[in-house]
Amino acid sequence: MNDYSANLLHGNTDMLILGLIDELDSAHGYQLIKEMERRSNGFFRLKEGTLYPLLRKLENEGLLEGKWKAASNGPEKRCYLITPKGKEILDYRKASWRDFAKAINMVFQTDAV
Amino acid sequence: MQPEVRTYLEEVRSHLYLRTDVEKQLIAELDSHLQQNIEERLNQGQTKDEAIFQAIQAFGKAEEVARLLYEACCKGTWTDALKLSLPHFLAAALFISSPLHKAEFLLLLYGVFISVSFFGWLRGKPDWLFSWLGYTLLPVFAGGFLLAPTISQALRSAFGNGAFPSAGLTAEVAIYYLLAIWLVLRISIKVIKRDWLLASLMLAPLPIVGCWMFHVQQAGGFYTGVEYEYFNQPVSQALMVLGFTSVLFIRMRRRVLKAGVAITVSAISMMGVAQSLRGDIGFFGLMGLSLVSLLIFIIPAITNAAIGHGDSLLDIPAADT
Repeated sequence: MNDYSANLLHGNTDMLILGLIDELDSAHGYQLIKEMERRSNGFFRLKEGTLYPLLRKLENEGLLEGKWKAASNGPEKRCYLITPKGKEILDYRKASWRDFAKAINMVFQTDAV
Repeated sequence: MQPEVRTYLEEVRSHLYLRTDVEKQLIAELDSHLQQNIEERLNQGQTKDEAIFQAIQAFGKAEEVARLLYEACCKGTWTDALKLSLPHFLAAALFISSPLHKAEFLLLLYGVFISVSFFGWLRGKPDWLFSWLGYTLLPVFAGGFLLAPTISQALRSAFGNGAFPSAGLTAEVAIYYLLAIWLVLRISIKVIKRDWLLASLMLAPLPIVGCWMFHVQQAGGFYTGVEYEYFNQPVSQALMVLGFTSVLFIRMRRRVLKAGVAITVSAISMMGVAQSLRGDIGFFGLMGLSLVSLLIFIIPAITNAAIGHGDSLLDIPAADT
């Protein structure tokens, strides 16, 4: 990922995390990192230590809820669920992102013509 | 838990300065992540040492992870800000309250300070507790301060004309000082282990009130029945400034800014009080007071560096939430 992409990701990491948790219903930190990497074909590789501060920030803002869950094998994991407030924010940001991406594409198409 | 992981997590924890229950959960969560990563690497065929090393490397520098976690978790709500600043405002109100009801107000207020401190201590020591605790310790300092002239008089007569004070009085004063020092040190060390910056904020009103007591003593003492209204005003203002600083402190995320604001405001408040009570205190007076203010922050910071965070959290399972 180049510097420009890194900047784009920096402003949208919380949206990506909220979106992933919403789709997975409930997810723990390690799962989120692996899933983001898999879905983006390795394009988004979060520095692992930066994920937990972000999850805690979203939890303190009331957008996520963290709960310890026992695992069938291995230690307990802290799983995150999206709250109604988080879902509302996510929907708003997804809509804004789509409008933004659409506008950028329209500008580039006009350029090409 | 692997020794390398333990060392790494201990390093993270040493820079967290959060409530013990929050720290426990964070450390358990990071451990769970590292264990999953190590297991996956082992399944991919890496050696144990390689898997542990790379899992820790992928996580990032311990100090940086701790800083980000602290900034994500330290910011209190407006209610926390009110709880943290309230004792400063109450103490400020005491200083400018009507002389007729000051004694009753003082007793009532001290009862509130003790009750809230006790309640907060039992409820997991939240950040707002420490400003209440500072005022709870204030009478212990005041007692020591008020006993000082008696001791100095006894020493003067003992060395001047050989009239030694009674053994009973000497024993009582000695026991008081020993108990007071023990209590203050024990509480301060417990707070310093949690967060030296909170310990400094807890102690911040002491030099301001100490400055006021010194000037009242110089002007004739506490038992003359004279109300020193002129002295009360600047102390009240300085305590109010501490109250507003507490609000800023709990709402800011960056630790370096918190420390900067707390040190600057404490030093300025103390110098303001000294200047108002004494007139021009001169360059050396200002330097001396700056040094006292700095010591209130430096001593807890050095003590924290020496004794660390206390017990290890790594063998204790995280609380279920």
